[in-house]
Amino acid sequence: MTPRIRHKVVGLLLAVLIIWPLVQQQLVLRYRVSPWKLAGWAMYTTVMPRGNMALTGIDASGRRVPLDARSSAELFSTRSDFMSVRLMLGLFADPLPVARAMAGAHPAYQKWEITVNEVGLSRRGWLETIHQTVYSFKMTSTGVEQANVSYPAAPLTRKRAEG
Amino acid sequence: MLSSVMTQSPSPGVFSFVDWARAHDEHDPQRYDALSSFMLLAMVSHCGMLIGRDVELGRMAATVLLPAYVLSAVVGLSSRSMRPYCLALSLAMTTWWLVLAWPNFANHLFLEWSVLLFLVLSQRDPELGMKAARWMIVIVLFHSGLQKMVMGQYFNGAFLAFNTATIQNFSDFMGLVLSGDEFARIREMAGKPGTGPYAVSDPLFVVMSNLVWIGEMSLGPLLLFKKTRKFAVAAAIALIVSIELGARELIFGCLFGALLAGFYPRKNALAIWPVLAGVQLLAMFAFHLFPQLRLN
Repeated sequence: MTPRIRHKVVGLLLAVLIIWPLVQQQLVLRYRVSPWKLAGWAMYTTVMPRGNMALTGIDASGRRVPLDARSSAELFSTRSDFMSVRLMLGLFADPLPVARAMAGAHPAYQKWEITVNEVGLSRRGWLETIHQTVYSFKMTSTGVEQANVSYPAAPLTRKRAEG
Repeated sequence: MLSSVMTQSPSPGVFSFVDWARAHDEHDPQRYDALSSFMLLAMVSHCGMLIGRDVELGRMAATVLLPAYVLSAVVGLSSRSMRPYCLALSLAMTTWWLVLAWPNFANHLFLEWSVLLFLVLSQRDPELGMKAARWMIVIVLFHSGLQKMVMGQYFNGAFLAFNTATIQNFSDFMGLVLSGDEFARIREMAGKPGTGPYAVSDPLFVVMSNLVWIGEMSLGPLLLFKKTRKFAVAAAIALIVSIELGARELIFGCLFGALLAGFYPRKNALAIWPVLAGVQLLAMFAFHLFPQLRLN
């Protein structure tokens, strides 16, 4: 490698490293990627991402039934794996394996929903649900497919609502 | 002032900004040697933290990564002619570590990987390697501050207050700064969902909280200017020490200290690398032997 090419390679790498945190910042703000991850130097900017997940089955009459993630070993394990990746990669995490495991463990339902509540410090400085994602799935001729994803307004936590 | 940074650049063109981090003295070859030696041992300490973890990465660290890092350090430190190969082996292991941990790797590991990459790429041009290593500190400092400003949780002290409520290391330190009533209120919330507000009214705490992001954002660029470099190095070290009083991330703190020392003008301050590497090794052993010290 000639000195000139070496200088250019190092310069190009540094330029990428200078710009990348701005890209990562947009991934955080738009796609819920964890600020702590992907080398954007945003560790210690906000609390470590945390959250919870609810699984729901919807029957033919539209009745919504909470499902227990421990109802099958596969569902429990895919749910844990998805939640872990969801809190790091945000909306880039793929919920389909969880939906397939839900459909396998609870085949009586017509539709299935995965609700992810992200808990963090809100702009007002409370530790509460700051973002909610609802993934909806239905059975098609080719198997379980994602029907919709929505982002309803995060519900107030009990203490906030009472306060 | 910017023009004084950019003048006399030996490398015109779109990448001439690399030279903004030049040393203005003749000590870069010694700094390169010192940083190379430090990085070989730094990877041993960092990887040593993984030992005992009952996950794939922990098992891989015990069987492959750590032996390779130890081999690199022993051979690289005892034979100067072998050091380039040892740096390359450390870089390869760190690349593998990043892949294994994806996407759950710490930014600290990425910083180590970047420095190793630049050291390997610049083996025939130590000055270029040191410019790149210095740029990494500017990038990390500036973006850390900018990201904190964008997230907005340092303006009212909420993030530091939350850490005070939930992390004993922060609590030990912040208890000295916060008033008794405010400290008790924050500790009582204990980071449980639905608690708040974590915003703090104590002026000293709020000023301290804002000084973190303002300091990081301004010190990064100030390191690039010859006239402000010495001040910026001292201020950045003070900032890192104060952050480490709460975070106790000694292995990261020493890496950052070594990279900052590379900025110190007119002498090779990186000659202190054995001290920093020794602290890292001690921190790694203390992490395993004395977990109550809560080092990480």
